[in-house]
Amino acid sequence: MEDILMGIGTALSWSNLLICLIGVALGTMVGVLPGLGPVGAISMLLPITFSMEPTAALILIAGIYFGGMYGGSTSSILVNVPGEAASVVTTIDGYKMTQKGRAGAALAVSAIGSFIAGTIGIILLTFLAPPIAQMAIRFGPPEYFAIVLVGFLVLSRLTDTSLLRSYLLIIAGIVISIVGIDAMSGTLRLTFDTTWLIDGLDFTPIIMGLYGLSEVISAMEQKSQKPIKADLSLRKLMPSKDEMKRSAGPMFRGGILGFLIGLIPGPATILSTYASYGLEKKISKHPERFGKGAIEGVAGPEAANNGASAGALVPLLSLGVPFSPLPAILLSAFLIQGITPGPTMMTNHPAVFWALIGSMYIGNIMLLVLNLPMVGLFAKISHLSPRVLMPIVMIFCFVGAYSVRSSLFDVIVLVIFGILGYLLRKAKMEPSPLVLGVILGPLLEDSFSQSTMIFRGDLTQFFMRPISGTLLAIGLLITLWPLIGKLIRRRRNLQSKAEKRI
Amino acid sequence: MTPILFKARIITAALLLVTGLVTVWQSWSLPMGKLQAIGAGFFPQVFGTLLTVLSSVMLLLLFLQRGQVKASPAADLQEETVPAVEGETPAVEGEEPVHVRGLISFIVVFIVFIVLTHFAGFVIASMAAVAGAGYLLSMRGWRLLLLTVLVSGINYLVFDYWLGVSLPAGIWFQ
Repeated sequence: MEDILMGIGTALSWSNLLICLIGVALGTMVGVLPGLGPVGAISMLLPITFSMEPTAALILIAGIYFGGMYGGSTSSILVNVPGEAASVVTTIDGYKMTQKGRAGAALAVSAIGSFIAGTIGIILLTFLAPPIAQMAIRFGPPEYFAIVLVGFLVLSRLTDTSLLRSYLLIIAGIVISIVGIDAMSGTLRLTFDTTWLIDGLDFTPIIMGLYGLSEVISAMEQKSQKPIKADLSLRKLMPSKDEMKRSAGPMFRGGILGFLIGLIPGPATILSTYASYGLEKKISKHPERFGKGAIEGVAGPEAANNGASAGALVPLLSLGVPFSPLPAILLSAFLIQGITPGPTMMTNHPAVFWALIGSMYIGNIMLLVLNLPMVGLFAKISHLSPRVLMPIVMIFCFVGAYSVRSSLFDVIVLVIFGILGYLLRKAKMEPSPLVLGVILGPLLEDSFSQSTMIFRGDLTQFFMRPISGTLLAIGLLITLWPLIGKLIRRRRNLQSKAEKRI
Repeated sequence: MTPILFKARIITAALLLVTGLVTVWQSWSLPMGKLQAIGAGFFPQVFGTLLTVLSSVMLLLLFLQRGQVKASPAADLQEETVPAVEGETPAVEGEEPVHVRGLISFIVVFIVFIVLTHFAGFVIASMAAVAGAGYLLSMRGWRLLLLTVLVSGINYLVFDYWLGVSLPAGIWFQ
C-alpha cells in the first residue's frame, strides 16, 4: 500500500501531472480521429519521449494508451465512424442513441463506464502484477519458451478466421526478428553482406509502417476525401436516472470481463467489446432493444475495452512479455529508457513502476474530467479532414522512424512495412501476429536455445517441469481443440441417433 | 471472395514464399548445431522452411479457390464473421477499391523525400513530401501552402530544436 501511495505521490508532482494531462489529451484526440488508431499513433509519438526522463516518458505513453481507448467512442457515437477498432461495437447502439437525440447520454455513459472499468482494471493490475512478477522470478528459459509459444498459439486462434494465415504472419515476424547479429554466437544472419542490417530491424519503424503509414497510403488512393458531418447538439449531456441504473451492471461486468480478456494474447480490446455486447444482450430482459439504441450496448463494450487495456498490461509488467501490439510499443518505450519490464522491474526500478501505476489512477480521473465537459471539442476534431491529417501523419512517421537510430535506412524500412501493411489490409489479414512475431521472436529463440542446453538436448524435459509442462499441454489442447470438438460432436450425434432408434 | 481480395492474398502469399526461400538460401551455410547446443543457422533454417511450406500451401489453396472468385463484395462480408482487421469495419473493407495510382504516387513522394533529404536536407524534403501528399489528396492553393509550411516547420522545431534529434542537413548545405 505504501508503494502505491508513493507512486501516486510521484505522479502528483506538477511536472508529471502536466505530462499525464498532455498524454491523456493526445490519446483522446488520437482515439477520436478515425483511421489513425492508438497503435500507429503511439508508435508515431514514441520518439518524443526519447529525450525525456524515464518516469515522465512512461507516464506520457501510458496517458496516450488509456486516452486512445476513451476517445475512440466519441466518433463512434456521434458520426458512426469508430475512432479505433475497439469502438466498432459502440457504433451499433451509440449511433442509434445519437439519432434518437441521446448523444449526450451515450457519451456520458461511455466516459463514466470507461472510468469505472479503467479503475477496476488498474486496481486489479496493482494487486495482480506484483505477485505474478514474484512468481516469475523463479521462471527459467523453459517457462518463458512455453509462455511465448502458447501466446502465439492463442493469438493465432483469436486473430484471423484462418489459422494458416495467422501462423504464416507469426513465422514471417520471427524470420524478420532473426536479421542481424546472433546474440549467442555473434554470427551475422540474413544481412545480405550489408552494414545496414547488422543491428537488425528496429520494430518501431515496422509498427509505424504497418499501422500508421498504411493508413496514409489507403487515404491517397481515395481521391475525394470529405470531412465527416456530425450533429453536435449535446443539450442533454447527463444520462437520466433510468439510463444510469441500466448502465451500472454492464459497466462493472464489462470492466471485469474486459480485464480477464486482456490477460489473453490477441486483440483483447476488440474481442472484449464483442464479448461484453454478447453477454449484455444474452442476460438482458429486453434483448430486442439492442441494435436500436440500448444504453447497455454502449456502457458494456466501452467499459470492456478499457478493462482490457489494463489487463493487457499484466503480462507486460509482471513477465516482460507483451501479447498485443499496444503493450509491445510500451515495451519499446521501456527499453528505450533502459528499463526492462518484468519480474525484476519492481525490485530494480520500484519508483518508476509505482509512479506509472499511480499515474494510471490519476490519468483515469483526468480522462473523466476532460471527457465530460470537453466532449464537444473532441467531437469537432473528428471533422478534421484526412487531406490535412494524412500528410501530418506521413511526415511524423518519416521523422519518427529516422529519429530512432538517426538512420535513413529505418525510413526505408518504414515505407516497406507501410506498403506491406496496405497489402495486408487489402488481403484482410490482421498484422498483429507479424508484429508479435518480430517482438517475441528473439525471446523464443533465446529461451529455446538456453532450455535445450539445460536439458542437454532432451526436449521431453519441457513437459517434466510443472509450469512449462502445463502451459505446453494447454497449447496442445488449443491446437487440437477443433479436432477434439469435432470428435465430441460426432459422438454426441451418434449417441442421439442410437437413442432415437431405441 | 472478390478479385481484389484474391489478388491481395496471392501477392501476400507469393511475397512470403519468396521471403521463406531467401531465408533458407541465406542461412544454408550457417551451422545448425546439435539439440544440446543449437547453432546460428537453426532458427532461420527451421522458420525459413516453415514459411516456404506454409506459403506454398496458401498459394495452392488459393489456386484451388480460383473458381469461387466473385465480383460482389458481399461474399467477403459473409466470409469474414470475426472482426479480423483492426481499424476497419467489415463493410468498409469489403467495398474498398484499389487504385494503383495512389500507391505509385506514394512511392514517388517517398523517393523524392529520400533523395531530397540526402541532398537538400530534411526541411526541404519534408516540405516537398507534405506538398506532394497534400496535392495527391486534392488539396490546392493557399491551404496546401499553409499546411506545407506549418507541418514542416513544426516538425523541425519539435524534433530538431526541442527534442535534439539531429535531422539531416543535406550534403548541399553541409
